[in-house]
Amino acid sequence: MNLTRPSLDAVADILVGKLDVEREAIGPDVPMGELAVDSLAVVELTLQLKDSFGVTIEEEEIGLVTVAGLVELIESRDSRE
Amino acid sequence: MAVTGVGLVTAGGMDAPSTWGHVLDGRPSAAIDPALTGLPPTLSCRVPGTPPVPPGPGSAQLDPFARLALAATAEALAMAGLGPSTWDGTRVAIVTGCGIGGVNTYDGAAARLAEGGPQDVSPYFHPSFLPNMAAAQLSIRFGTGGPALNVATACASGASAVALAADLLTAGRCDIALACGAEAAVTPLVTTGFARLGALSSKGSRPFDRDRDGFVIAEGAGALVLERAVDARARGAVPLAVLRGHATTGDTHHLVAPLPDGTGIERALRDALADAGVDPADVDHVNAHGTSTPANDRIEAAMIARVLPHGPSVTSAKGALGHPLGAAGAVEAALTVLSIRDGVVPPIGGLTVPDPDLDVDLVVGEARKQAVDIAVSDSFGFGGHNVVLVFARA
Repeated sequence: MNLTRPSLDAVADILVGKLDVEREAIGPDVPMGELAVDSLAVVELTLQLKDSFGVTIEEEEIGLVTVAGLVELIESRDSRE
Repeated sequence: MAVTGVGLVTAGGMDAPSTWGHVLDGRPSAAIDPALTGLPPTLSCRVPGTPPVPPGPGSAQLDPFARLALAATAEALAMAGLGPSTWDGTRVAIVTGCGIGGVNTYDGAAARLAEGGPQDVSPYFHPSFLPNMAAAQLSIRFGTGGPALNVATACASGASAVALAADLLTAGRCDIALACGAEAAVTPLVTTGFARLGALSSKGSRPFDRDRDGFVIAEGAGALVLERAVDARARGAVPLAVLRGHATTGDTHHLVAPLPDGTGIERALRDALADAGVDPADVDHVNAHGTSTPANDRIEAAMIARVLPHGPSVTSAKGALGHPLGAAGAVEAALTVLSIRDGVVPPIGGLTVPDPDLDVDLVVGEARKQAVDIAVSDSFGFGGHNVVLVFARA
């Protein structure tokens, strides 16, 4: 699997491409709970984060962070150097 | 019932005008398909692009069959001049014909389950793959609150959808009915299944040809907007044609083989003409099921010659477009409507040497200018589902 480096842009691409989020709605300080608006989208997002970055983020964690916070969370779980 | 709009997304083109032009040229669209590498037949007829769709939830997860349905129906509605701003959505019905469903999504999810376990399967698996999801997406995106149904009668599904849509109008269950056949099932497994039945050609589709040896699997969608003629007139719409009648029969014979004496499909044609109040001698044109399999074309042509001995022109779109399975009946219904509108019948793509044993007037080589007042469209599905639609000039 080809993993992507975590970044705001990479997360935004997932939100737009896989979850139909409007790109204009995405910003570093926007709470994820406002973007991944239903439980299906949250589960799908955990799957996409695993596919793209090789990390496991729990569904419950997503509602607690902003977009920038999610990027930090991914980086903190990233096992690559 | 008035047909006030049609939409087509096929291997021949991304909309009705381009598909119609392609079919009138009689040019086969089959090509070697890299996704089928290693299988006995590697030919398919793919839609040449990804059509845009009206906005709505789950766009990123749309299975191709639902995407094709949305695109074809959007085109048909634009042609009809109808949409959410013009109608009471609670009086609009949707009937899709899909024989298989989102099998691309299914294959992908099955592979993820096998490789990564349950945690790797998307929650959008069911909302993407279930065969009713084209009808559901149409209902959600076009805001229609009437009945939204899917009918599966294998390769007759699209015709069954048109027939059922007309019945919903007749029964007063709705005031506008959107009928759409859609299928996107060109996958290695589905293709292999048809190959194992001996139904596929490795040379190309050539309906009613002496050397025909099977069909080419295709994807596509066809949509028709149906309204009561009086309602269409009242809003100033000009119908493309009218659906005068239809009938559905069962062969009660075999899982996949047609009844050898053709009596099941003969009843469908005779019943449909009776339903339409049409004398068989008045039929000008037949848009045949014409799969290009040896048995279907022989039995269908013999049946047409029995019921319509005066020799109306006979074509099959499957030479040009391949066989889009559950979509075929609606695609071909739309093409039949366009024949009536334009006074021209398309040639049979791929046909070079007509089978000398078939006693019907095949349209060979070039499109034929012909006034078409009454035309029938045949569709037959595995399991012995026979549907005939009768269209007439408005």
